[in-house]
Amino acid sequence: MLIFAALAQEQPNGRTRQQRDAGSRGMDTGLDEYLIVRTGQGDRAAFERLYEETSNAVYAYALSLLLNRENAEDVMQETFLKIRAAAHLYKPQGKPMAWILTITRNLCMMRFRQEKRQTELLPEHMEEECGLSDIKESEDRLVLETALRILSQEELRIIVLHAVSGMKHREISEVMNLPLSTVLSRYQRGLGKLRKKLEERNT
Amino acid sequence: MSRRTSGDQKIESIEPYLKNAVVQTRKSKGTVVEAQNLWNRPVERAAGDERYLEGTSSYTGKRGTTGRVQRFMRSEIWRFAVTAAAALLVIAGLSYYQLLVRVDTTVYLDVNPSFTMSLNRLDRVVGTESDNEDAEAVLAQTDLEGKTVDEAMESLLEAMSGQGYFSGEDSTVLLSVECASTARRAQMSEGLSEEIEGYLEKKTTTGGAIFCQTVQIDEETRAFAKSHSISSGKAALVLKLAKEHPEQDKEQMASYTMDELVTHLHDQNIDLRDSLDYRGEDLDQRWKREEERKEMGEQSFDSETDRQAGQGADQGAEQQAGQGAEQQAGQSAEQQAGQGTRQEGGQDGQQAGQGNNPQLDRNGDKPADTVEQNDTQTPEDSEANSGADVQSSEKTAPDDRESTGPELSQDVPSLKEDLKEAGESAQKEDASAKTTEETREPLTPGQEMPSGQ
Repeated sequence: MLIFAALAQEQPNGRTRQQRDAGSRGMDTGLDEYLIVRTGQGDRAAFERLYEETSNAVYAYALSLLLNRENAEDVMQETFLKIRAAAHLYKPQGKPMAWILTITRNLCMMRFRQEKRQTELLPEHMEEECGLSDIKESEDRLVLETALRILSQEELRIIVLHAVSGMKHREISEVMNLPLSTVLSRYQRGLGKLRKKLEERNT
Repeated sequence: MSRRTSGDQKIESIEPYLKNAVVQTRKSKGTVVEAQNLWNRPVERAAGDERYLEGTSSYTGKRGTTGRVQRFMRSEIWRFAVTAAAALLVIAGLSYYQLLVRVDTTVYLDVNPSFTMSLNRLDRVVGTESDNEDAEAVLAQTDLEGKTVDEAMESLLEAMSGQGYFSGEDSTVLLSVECASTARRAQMSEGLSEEIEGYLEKKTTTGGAIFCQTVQIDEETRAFAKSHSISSGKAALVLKLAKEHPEQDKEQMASYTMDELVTHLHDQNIDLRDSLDYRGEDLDQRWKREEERKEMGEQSFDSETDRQAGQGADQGAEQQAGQGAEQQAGQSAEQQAGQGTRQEGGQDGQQAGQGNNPQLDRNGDKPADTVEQNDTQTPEDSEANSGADVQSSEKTAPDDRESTGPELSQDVPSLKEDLKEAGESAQKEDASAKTTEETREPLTPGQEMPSGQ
């Protein structure tokens, strides 16, 4: 089975070696969008690799939207199920992460509609809701906790997406349906606030 | 946490901490096993119109607000297009205002009526004002707004002409142009004064006089214009003249029509052509005509006075003589020939003697047959008469004579001698009447006879 998996990975799928090596990488994240194409063709190994490379970004984005790690996990898993269901419809355009995270956003919105509310994270619930206690490094925890406290929801989402998924600002603007200038300004502002707050805490 | 000097490096240094923190909150670990579990779960193959695909390139359903349309609406291209459209709209609005609405040039026209016309950059009329009542009456006949300045000027001149201005000689117009641009001011001035000159040449016998000036109207001038019911252009001229010639009364000058003002200034040895641009008739000829008129007016006044005085004396004498003779003729006829027709003839004679006598010929001589009418008068009476009495009873006497002659001669033999004597005296009177007629001035056709003749 491993051999088959390995062989499956080596299937050319009608592309030249050059295309395989270089042409299908997502322009900004480095993700090979043909993993999605092959998933749609029934390639399990492609799906698994896709999951390994993108599940953190999907989870982080879901967490920034839902502010609850349980819900974020659910949405993350549901996202990959939908990827499996719709991968055959994916058209390679060089933006695989945008395609995936748009599905994640839609699933979060559908959850909001079902629950008829948007999540508000109260400070006293932050630890439990977001699982801060599971963060081992104190500096890491401090940064996330501070970000959750002082950043607006949009600033948080933009910074988390940029930090975790490695997406460029232009792709983030498409995923979030925001103008590029807005994404840039809020990113800078959010990081500035975060840095300032962290420096105050350090002193 | 590392601190770097570069802002970008500082920013980058926070993100790894954030990424680590987020990943550590995750219960699942992103392993292959997890992927395999997901792979093994049954899924429904997507058709493309599912809600979770909205906003992706795979979505084939109806576009929602979170779809491609919204992304486009928020995209840079859209924002640029909206900004550009807004800018174009503002520019278009400003251009519209600058070209079509804002007053660029003001034209003031003074004859006796005083007008103000406001023009936009395209030389179209955007507003008109009548500065006095005469102008109000003229403007009521016209609709100038929206017309080009040439068309409007022509309409205005026609309307004034229709109300009796510009008839005959001596039409004077003051044209004043106010505009920020020197070039446009000069161009407007030249064009309009030429148009007015052309019009006056057609309408008047002498061609008219057109004075032209460019002005900058201040509040003082505007106030003076309003208080004197003249245009600001004329007000500017009057104030300027008052400044240059302090002896001149500006109130008086403001009250004159342009004709009167030009004449008044000429009488004061001030030539308006020295102050303003001028085109039109030769004003020196106008002054000549004015003087000739004055002279003729004096002469004709004198001769008329003399003539009337002479005519009055003649008329008085003739009137009295005519009335006396007629009365006597009437009475004699009654006495000698009985009442009835003679009385009637006498009465008719009296009436005819007192009124105009249409049966006189052009020389004022009585018709020949009227001589016989006087046969009824006594000699004494006829001597007192001058020419007028012979005309009395003309209408009825011949008939009366004819009807009564044979009867008289038959019925009253003693009357024959009397009649014969009366005829001789009548001949004498006829001769004297002719003499009187000759000394009197001949009547011209249509001239009425003085009453009583």
